[in-house]
Amino acid sequence: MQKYIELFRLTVDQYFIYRINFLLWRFRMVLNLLIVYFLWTAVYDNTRIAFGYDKPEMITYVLLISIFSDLVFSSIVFEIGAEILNGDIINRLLRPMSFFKYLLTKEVADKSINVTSSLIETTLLLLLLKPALVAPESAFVVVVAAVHLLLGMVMAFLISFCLSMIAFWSAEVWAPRFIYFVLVTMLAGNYFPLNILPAPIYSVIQLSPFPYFVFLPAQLLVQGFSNYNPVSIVIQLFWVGILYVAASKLWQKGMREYSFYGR
Amino acid sequence: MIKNLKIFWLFATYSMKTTLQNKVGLVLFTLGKLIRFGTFFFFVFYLLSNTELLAGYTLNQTIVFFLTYNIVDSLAQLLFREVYRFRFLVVSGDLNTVLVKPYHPFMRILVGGIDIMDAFISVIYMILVTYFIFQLPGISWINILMYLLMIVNGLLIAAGFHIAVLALGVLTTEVDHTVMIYRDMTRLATFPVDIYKQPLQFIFTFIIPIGIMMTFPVKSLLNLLSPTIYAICFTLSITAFISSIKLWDYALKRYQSWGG
Repeated sequence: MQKYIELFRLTVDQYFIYRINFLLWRFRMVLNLLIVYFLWTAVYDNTRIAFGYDKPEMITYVLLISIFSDLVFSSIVFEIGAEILNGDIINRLLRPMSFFKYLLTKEVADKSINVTSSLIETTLLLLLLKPALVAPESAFVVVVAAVHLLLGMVMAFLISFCLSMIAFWSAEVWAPRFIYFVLVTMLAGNYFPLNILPAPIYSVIQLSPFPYFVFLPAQLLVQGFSNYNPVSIVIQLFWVGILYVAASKLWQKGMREYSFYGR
Repeated sequence: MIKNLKIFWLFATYSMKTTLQNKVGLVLFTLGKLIRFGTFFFFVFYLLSNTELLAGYTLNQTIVFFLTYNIVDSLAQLLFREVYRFRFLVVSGDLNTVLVKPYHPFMRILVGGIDIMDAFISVIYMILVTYFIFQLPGISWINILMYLLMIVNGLLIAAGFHIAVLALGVLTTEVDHTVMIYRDMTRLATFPVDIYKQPLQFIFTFIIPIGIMMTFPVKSLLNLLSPTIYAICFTLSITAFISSIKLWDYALKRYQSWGG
């Protein structure tokens, strides 16, 4: 256990070695939040309620999505693809520690740093802009949202892992990840709550993994159980299962076929 | 001039041939960009169909703002893509081999990597914006001419920024984050900068001139700009461009050749 604690500490330290890189990265995240925040603020200049959300609900949603996105989508798993391509993964596998525990520790460290930064940035924005917000309707809603969020993190991790596995068979690892990133940006609810979309489109999106990353937990905290379908948890567990099987199979098959010269 | 155009064309051809080597990547990245544009376009359309106004602008006007942002952004990427690869030239010392060539280094490091993907996508944006501009009432040819002039003005600011990135790259070897911050900054103008409250609106218009680059071309189309504002815009872009050239000259004098 001690070695993983040490690995966690080292990963966090790495961010503080490249401080400018990290600060610039966070600055970019704040810019992204500003676009969505002011877009929705401008929408409510003309109307009190838009798409069933009033202004405090929408602004709460936007801020929650920003924090949840940092929690769910910040990841170092994409590095695995590059390491497979350049052979560095062999060094990792030969180390006297579990590869997956290594990966998980680095992932937790990465998420901790990003979420802490996100919380600080959001607090500063709240102090500066002083928007009206809404509170969750009950403690039970918070618990259910937390479960969805946790499962969302697992799903994002597994999808990212599967995308990295492409490197076992092709050097083209960035283009599929770019498409995934594009889809996540638009279909996970980063710009707008998905339930404002026309009902047929929303129904189709609900069958995909996208609404379960960040939209569902944020919507639960904002609107409570009024629009919640308990089947959501079944669909999310189904996706976790499918993705886990896919990730395991791809890893096993990839490792069997992998070879690298010159190391 | 003719010599420079020939060199530009030569580099553009090389760049296109290099990109076409990886056809799968080209198709997937283009597909990704089209999905991103398509879904965002749908979102803007759907949002404005329901709310009718955004910062006082109608659906068609907001779409023209959105498309103009995409045009300026993709044209800047199309022209200045090579800047994204500049860091390697500096840290490897390969910049020396560019500087000794008998043509201006910008031919290689600024506009020497034309991006064929953005060329294709830019055409789509231009067709769409033409359609939506002609949906707007009361647009004269003078307005369209000023719109085009303001887009060129925006590209001049973009050129200045990319030259400044090159200069900073020589001085500090930092390129990647600087250029990505430029991209994120310009994304703030996906919608008219009027959506931001003061003093942010002023900052995003005149201090970080993304408003002049991406919002003001459409404002000129809608006849919302006074002659004084035009004068400020052109003065600012020319000053930004000249300042970036000065910064580049300063950086070159301090260049000591890294790596090698």
